[in-house]
Amino acid sequence: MDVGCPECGAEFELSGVEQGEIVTCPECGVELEVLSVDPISLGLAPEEG
Amino acid sequence: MATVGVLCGRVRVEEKLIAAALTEVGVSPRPVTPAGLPLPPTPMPTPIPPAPAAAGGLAGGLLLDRGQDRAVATALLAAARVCGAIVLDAGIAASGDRLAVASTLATAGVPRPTTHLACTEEAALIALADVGYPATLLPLPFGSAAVALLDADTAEAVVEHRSVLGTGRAALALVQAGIWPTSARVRLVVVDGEAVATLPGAEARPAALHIAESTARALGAAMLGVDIVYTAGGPVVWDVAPVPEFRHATPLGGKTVAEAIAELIQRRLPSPELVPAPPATVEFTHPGTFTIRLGEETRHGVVLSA
Ligand SMILES: [Zn+2]
Repeated sequence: MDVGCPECGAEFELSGVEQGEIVTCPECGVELEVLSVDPISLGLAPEEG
Repeated sequence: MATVGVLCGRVRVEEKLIAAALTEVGVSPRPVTPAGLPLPPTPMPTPIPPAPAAAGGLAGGLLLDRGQDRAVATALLAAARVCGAIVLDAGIAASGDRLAVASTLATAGVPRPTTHLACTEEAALIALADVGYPATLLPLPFGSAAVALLDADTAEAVVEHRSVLGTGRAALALVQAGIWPTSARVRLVVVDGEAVATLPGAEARPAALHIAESTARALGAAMLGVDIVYTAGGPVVWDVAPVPEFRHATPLGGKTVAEAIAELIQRRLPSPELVPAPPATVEFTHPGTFTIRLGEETRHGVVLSA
C-alpha cells in the first residue's frame, strides 16, 4: 500500500512489514517506525542513544 | 536566477514549502546537506576539495539555516560566515543554547519564568526549592526534552539520575518555574521581526505577538519559533525553537511562513556588485615574470629584487 513519510510528506509503496519494524524513507532517508500494519502507519523512529 | 543554499540534513515538508515559495519568487533553492567530505574553515583554498553541495551554499552567497542537527548546523553556519556567506538563522538561538537565550532575553527585559542555571545536583535541588513545584528541568541543548517535576520526591530522583548519567555539559540544566505541556503553549513563528503564524488552535493575543517579536529582535533572529505561556503574571517566553516546524501553522496575516521566508531572502540577496570577487591567481610564466588573473582581467609583471 501507499504510505506517507511523516517527515518529508513523500508517498511510497510499503508492504510485508511488521509492527515495530524500522524502514527508511526513500526520499528523505529518515528512519521510520511501523506503528501499525492494518492499515500501515509510520512515525519517526526513536533516536539511538 | 539567484541561488540560495538551504542548510538541512533532510528535506522535510517545511523545506519543500520554502523551496516552492522561493521558486515562486524566482529564486532557486539548493539543499546544502552536511556531507561526508570536510568543509573549508576559511575562504582560502584547502588541499582537500570541499563537498560540492555544501561548498555551493558557502561561496559568497546566502545560506538559510534549516539544520535539524544543531551541533552540525552551528559549526557549518560559522564556517559559512567566515567564507563570506550571508546567513539567515535564529541568531543567538542558532549558535547558542537555552542558557544563552535565557540570559539574552533577561538582559533585554523580555518576560520569562523564574529560571536558575543548575550545574550540580545540589544546585538543582536548591533552585527547585526556590521556584517551588511543579517545575521544569530544561537541558541546555535545543531539542532535548524537558522534564516535568511535580514534587520534591520526583525531582530528587530525576536530578540524581541526571547527575549519575550526565557529565560536563550534559549535567547542566535550567530550572524553570511551572510546567507547561505543548498543548498549553502558544507557538508563534517570527520571520524578519514579524510574527507571521501560529500553530492551529493556539490563541495569539496581541501581547504574545509583541513578546515573540521582541524575542526575535533580542536574539538577532531572522526567523524563530517562540513558545509563549500565559502565566498569572502575564505572557512569558517559555522556550524558543531555532528551526521551527510550521507545516500545520496558521498564518496570522496574508502570507504563510514559507512565503515570508522567501520575501526575506529576496530582500537579503546580495546584489551582484556586492558578491565578493573571485580570488586572484598568480602564475609564474617564466623565471622573473608573472601573470595575475582577477576575474576576466589579466595583468603581467616582472619580479624586481634588490
Ligand atoms: Zn521522507
